[in-house]
Amino acid sequence: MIMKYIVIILMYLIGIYSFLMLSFLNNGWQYVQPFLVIVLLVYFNINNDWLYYTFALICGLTIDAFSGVFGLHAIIYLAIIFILKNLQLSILTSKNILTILLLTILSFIIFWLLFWATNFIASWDLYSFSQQSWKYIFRALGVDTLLIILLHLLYFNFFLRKHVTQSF
Amino acid sequence: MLKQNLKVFLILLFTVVFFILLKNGQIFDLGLVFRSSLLSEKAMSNLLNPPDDIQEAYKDLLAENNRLKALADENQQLKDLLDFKKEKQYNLLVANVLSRDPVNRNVLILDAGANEGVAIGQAIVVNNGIIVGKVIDVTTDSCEVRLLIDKQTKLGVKIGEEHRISGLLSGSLGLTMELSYIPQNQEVKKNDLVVTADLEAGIPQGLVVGRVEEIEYSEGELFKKASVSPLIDYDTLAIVAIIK
Repeated sequence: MIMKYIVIILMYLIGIYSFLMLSFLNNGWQYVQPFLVIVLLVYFNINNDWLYYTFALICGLTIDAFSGVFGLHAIIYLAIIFILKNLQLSILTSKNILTILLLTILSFIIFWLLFWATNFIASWDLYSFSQQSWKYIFRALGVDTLLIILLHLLYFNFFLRKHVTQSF
Repeated sequence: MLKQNLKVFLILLFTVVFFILLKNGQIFDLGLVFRSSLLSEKAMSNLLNPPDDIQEAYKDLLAENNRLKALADENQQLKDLLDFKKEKQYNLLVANVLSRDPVNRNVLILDAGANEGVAIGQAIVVNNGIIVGKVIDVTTDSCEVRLLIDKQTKLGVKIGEEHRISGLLSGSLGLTMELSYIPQNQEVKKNDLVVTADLEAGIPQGLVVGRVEEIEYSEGELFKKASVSPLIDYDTLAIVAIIK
């Protein structure tokens, strides 16, 4: 039980570290979203609603502390989790790897769509959406999706399978 | 489950909105409105509408502050003179400096004259017995004082801790004083105190003149010379005392 929380805290710290490191890079690597990666990993592997929603809130507020529009990332993360949960409760009820892949891609599409919408409506250009940056966004999407799938599979094969009877 | 999901989402969404309002200060503004509604109308009015003449009031207070500071300085000078009078039992007459001579700035005009017992040759002191000049001319209700730094001033003085060394003090350039006719065999050091000698009728001995600054001597000369720096700023003289 305690281990679960320690792992979540560790993931949070890794997320902060990755975010800060990536922000120093050029050539579009700053479009990689380490916080969204860890939020989705926690969502896919934890059953407690309050836990993964609160984790998403904290991650969102953390990244908002560095951005110009406070609260936007937090609201978008919460919205993504809400949409994914509703889909999993209605249409995509199975938890196989294809579903995970589909939900991951959908999350990132929703993420970039919402930011593009805020840029279009309110001119909150936290991310620039030029032709060049769309290439970086797609590249980052690929990197993020691969990361989530890889880490989820690692967790599933090395931990969950061994402890399949233990409730998480 | 969908309802549970919606409930959790809405609760945390409101939490985010709360943090946003907190960060942007709207919650603080709300608190201010609430607080102001509890204040009386007069207090609220004073808070929101400062008096129009606040600038004028500030200027008045500034002027009064300066006046009070000047009064405090004057008070301190008078206290020092009183202490000096009690210690030495001199007959002191306190006088104000009215102006300086337009031709020679080292001559002061005081508001005490012959009808108060002022006479030519009397010593002018400040603070705790520091002599600054001599009376050179007297009218009925005013007198002229030549400061020690004036080039026409001549005063017999004693130098050193034991006051055994004699010399003649004269003013120099209206800024400082010079000691001359100091015997070559007498040792004079820097920072030695210079006091009045008992050579002039109206000037008691032992009044402090200044401190030795630099000493000049050459082997071929009979006497040494030294410069003496005053202990106070002669440009700030406002209240003095005449030793009658």
